[in-house]
Amino acid sequence: MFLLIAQRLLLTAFLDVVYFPFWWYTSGVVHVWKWTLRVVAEGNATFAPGVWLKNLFVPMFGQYDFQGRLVSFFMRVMNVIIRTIFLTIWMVLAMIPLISWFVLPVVVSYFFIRSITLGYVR
Amino acid sequence: MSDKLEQPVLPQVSICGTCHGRGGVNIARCPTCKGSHVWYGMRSNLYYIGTALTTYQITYRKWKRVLHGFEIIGAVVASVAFFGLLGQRMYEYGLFPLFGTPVFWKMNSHNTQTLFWAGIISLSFLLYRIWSNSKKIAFVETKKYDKEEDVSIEIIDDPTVYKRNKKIDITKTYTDEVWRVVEHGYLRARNSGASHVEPAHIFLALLDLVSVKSMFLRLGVSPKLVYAKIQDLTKKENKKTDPLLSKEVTEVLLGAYEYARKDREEHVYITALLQGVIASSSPIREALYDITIEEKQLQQVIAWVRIREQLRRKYSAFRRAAGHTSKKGMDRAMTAIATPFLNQFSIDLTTQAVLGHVSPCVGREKELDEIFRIVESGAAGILLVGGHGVGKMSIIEGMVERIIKGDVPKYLQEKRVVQVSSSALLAGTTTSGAQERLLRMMSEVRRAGNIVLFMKNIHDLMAGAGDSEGLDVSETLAEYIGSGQVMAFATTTPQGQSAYISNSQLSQGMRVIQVKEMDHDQAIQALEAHVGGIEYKHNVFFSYHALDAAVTLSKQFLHDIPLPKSAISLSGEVASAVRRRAGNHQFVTKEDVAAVIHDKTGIPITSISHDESTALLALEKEMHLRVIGQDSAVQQVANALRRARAGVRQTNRPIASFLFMGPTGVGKTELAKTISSVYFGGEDRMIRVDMSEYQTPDSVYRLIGRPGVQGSGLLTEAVRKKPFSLILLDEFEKANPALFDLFLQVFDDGRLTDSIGRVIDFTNTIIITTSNAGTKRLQEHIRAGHTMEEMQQDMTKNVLQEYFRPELLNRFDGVVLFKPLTKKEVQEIAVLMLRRIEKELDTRGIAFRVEDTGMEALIRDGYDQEFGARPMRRAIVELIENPLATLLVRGGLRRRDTVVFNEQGLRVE
Repeated sequence: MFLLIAQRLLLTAFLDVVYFPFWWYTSGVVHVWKWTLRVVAEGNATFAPGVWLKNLFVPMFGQYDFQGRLVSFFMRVMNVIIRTIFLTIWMVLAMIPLISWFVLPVVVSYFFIRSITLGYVR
Repeated sequence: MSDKLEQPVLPQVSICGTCHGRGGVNIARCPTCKGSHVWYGMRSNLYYIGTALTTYQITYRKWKRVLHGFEIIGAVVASVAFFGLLGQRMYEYGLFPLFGTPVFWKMNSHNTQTLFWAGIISLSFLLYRIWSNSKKIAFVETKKYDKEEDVSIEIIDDPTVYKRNKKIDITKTYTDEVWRVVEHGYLRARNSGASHVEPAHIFLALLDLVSVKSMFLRLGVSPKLVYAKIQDLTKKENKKTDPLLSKEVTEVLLGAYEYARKDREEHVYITALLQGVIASSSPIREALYDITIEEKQLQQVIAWVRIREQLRRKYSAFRRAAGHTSKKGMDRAMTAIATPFLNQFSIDLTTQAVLGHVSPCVGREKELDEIFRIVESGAAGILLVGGHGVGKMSIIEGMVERIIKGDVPKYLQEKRVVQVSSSALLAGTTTSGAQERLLRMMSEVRRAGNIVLFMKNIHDLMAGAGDSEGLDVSETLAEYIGSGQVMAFATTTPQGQSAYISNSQLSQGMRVIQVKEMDHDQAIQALEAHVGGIEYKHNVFFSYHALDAAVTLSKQFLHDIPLPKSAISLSGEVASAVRRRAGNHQFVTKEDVAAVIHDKTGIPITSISHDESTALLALEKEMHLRVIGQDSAVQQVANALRRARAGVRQTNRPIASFLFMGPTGVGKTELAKTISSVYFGGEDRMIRVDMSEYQTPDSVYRLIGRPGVQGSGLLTEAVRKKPFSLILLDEFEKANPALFDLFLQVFDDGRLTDSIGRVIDFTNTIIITTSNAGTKRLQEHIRAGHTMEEMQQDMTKNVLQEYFRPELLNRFDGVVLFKPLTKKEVQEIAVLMLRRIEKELDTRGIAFRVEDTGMEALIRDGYDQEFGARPMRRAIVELIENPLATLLVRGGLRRRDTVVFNEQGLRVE
């Protein structure tokens, strides 16, 4: 039985290595995708342009008079715009790891192979 | 002991006939069950063990874990090596300035580029190994709060007919720790040559864990002893092949899932597995019972560990949620208004919670759900009614936590809970000033729109309440709540509600939720949730028995505060006392708890801990030291007390109630005093009420208090302050018959409601009523020379009926007849009385002796069959004490003198 186990372990070890690139573009992608979603959600909770958009016509700080409503409306519009911008930047930043994830193996393999072909330079 | 638990949680399992639950035939998958091994059907799902348990599989998994560990280590080493070498070469050949320039990437100087990319590959491999190893543990299905569940078990012969989405592999919900224990238990069975894996094997594997060991330490039992005891249950056999899973073990493995589900756990943790083991195996329960571990205690300790873990997990989720809540009282849409005025007179509970200043709320899900239901129905005011310390504030704090987490109805989302401080409201102003402040606050709250107002003990702010000088918030509040402009929560006591709120406007606007005192088990769980903080603060460890004692004893002796508060504060005191006495890292036992109760109440420890069996057995002897004669009375009383201490009495009645009957001066009061000092530890624990003072019907109010006036009942207040005492109702027959009805209830239910609605507990009292009724008849009997039995018969059948109604007489535990004293007994009493004089003189250095002729003189003057020992008292006063006093005053006695009494009177030698 121990021989069987040793055999199977060897096979597992081999598969672990071989599976690496497949994993990268399957489960690995899912992993990074979920991570990105979490980061985006966190950004949304922090900047929350949606909350401001929903309350676009609700006056801020309880100023229910006309002037208050007017100022609030523009203030909210500004906030929605600025917050959306920030959130977009945040999302773009969050996408960087995801995109890199796809690109990384190609880049790494290319440069790795090229560096070997470049040969040893003193 | 029952064979199974009260609620059957363990499922009825089916085992595959081909693979016998091992999941594989040799190393291949079982063709019949296709890997389902062992299963049960419930809630129209199929639950099965999807991971094979064979030595081959377990060994393989064990080594695979090692392999994966190596892979990670290898990746780390390779990354460090590649980058280290890269750094070394770049440093050696001065390549750092080139790094990042196109030149560097165009050539592979000293193989630095190769090393760099190899390092990146190793790092990526490391990431791959770590991420693919951290398998997500599946979640246990969540139990619905509102729906009644179908718990009927479906017997399924062929597990393969189920669709994939209806099949739940419960092993996927096991945490890693649980898996290791199961595998360890399996290997343990195999190594001991057993033919079947039994729950005992799993139990022994569990015992290797520190957390499980500590459970037994908390129960005051050494884990080694438990180990040895359970080890005896496992059979030593010589089988060389793989053991099969016994039916009980399959129940354990599958049942653990049901336990986790019942306790609303996310995954199957160790606690659920342990519960399964205990529930499945009656031999284990019996073995534990032998070493004084009862199943219920063990369940409570398991719950303790579970609650701690749940609190820890809940806390980290709460911290994450709290990060998005403003500490300045603003909602995220900034629609709220700053409330500077309100802030002066209030505490923001939401901010307090975000800062982590609230304690955990345990066991109050029902009340919280009720609050949310009422809020959803649109009511704007909720009043929590319950005694001081039942946990009303804890419920409010629990609600605040849920608001922060967003787990509340829409109306409460993003709201701030602000507590109005009544002292700040009233400070430095008049009543009308406070009223004005309140109005301004209310208008701020209304405009702010994101505030839920909270008023603790709202009755303090109602008209007529003692310390608020006529301030009445009810109208102001009712105005705002009634129109739905302000949402308000408040707490009050039942007395406060009946006295101030039920007849105010407020009662219409607010919905009432009754918060009841926790029962014993709930209180223990609440204490378990709080005790972690106490342990941490005082650096001590509580045994389970200490917790149990804290709850039981505070329920019994600390009546003013209800559970769980009384038990929690008592535990705090005990922890600090233990640390002061013995230093850090001490174990708190139930004796420590009893000692603190003794310090607080003065009740003797022996009475608290119910341990002194020798004293119990010798009760008669102890009583006879003070009471002469009256053998049958003493016997009756001693029997009743023994019953009480051994715990075989009804707990909803007084410990005992007696009617002592007999002529004057035979020792009725003396026996009552003796009981008080034997049972309660001192004569000062006797509440004496002379019933002859209560001859009019309205004297009821002197006993239970005038309606609406707090603390005016003589009896109820005395018992409330000293619930553990002897109540002596002297000359009971002389009281107004209306009062007898009052006592009917006390004798029967052990409780009395005082004039302000507080229930006073009489279950820890001994009630003794004395009566001289029928003395004349008794004397006639004595003259006629009747026996005790005849006398007793006549007295209870005929004489007492004239004074008391039969239902009252029936409720006494015993009608005790005191017989007149004989000459010999009176002589013995005289000796006791003379001893007191001897003792008194001894403190002045003077000896005292009574000669036989003196004793005869005393008997001659002091014995009267009709009046008992009283004439003897008088005779001693006249013949001895008076002349002695004259001698002392005259200065005729010096140290080392001896006073002798004989028939001629006193003489000094």
